[in-house]
Amino acid sequence: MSGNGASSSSLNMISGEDVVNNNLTALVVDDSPLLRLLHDIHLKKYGLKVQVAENGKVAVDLFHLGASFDLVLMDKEMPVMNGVEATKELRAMGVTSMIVGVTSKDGPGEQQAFMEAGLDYCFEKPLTPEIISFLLEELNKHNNKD
Amino acid sequence: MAGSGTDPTQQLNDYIRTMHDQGILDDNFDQLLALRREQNPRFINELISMFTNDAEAYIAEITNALSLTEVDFSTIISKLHQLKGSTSGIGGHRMYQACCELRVAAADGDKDRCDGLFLRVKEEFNTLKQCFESISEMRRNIISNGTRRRRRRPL
Repeated sequence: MSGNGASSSSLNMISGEDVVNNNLTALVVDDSPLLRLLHDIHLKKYGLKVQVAENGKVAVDLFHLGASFDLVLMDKEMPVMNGVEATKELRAMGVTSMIVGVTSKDGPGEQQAFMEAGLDYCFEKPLTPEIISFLLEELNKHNNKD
Repeated sequence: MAGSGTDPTQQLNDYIRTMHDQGILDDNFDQLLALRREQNPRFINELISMFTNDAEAYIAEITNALSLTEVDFSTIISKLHQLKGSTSGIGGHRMYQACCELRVAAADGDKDRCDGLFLRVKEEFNTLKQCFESISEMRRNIISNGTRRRRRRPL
């Protein structure tokens, strides 16, 4: 799967209990406090250590300061620095974290433009437990290869 | 003697199903209910409270932006984006749709259309708030019923 806006119905559904991992870290980048909280809770349920950032600039600054995360959930539209700009900057810095874009439902070209910035996957917000399970499974596979 | 009337839990489930049928709530709300079981009992109420407070603030800012002589469409679009995000997260399907339509009108710079669609956003917000209030009331009944049954249990 190339991650071009894959829907949850096309994913291999696995139980959340299968992917509980206490070693993974995640950064939730979203200007909505409610969505930050929701994604934070969902990810912590799977044992991830989670940090949040309210816009792309805060996220990029975290990486500049030496932080690293296995998974970055990146909202597209944010003030100060949006998700597209932040993703481009992170990739230009050499960040190899899995970066997953989260977009609203409108705009057919929205996901494509975001993907081209350097995302690994892009989904509609909010992410469902099934999608999070899929992402963690992909992360585990990637980490096991190293 | 068996209690008369529907079981409160069944009432709540039926009510939520009705809200789904009417398009007021969607699957994202069900995801929150599933999370609730793993979080503290007040989790849903806290989330709803956060949504309501944020939504009222965004609506106030949109009201202000629409009332200006030179309508501030960029503020409207910006606040709508945040309102849409929160609404989607809480599972408010019809309100989310109304926000999407208003966003199109704001992007077109059409004040008259914005006025009409904003009215709809506010109506859907009120409907959603009432829905959440009803759900909270039913959940309180379930909790108090459970407490009464435990007290009546013979030693």
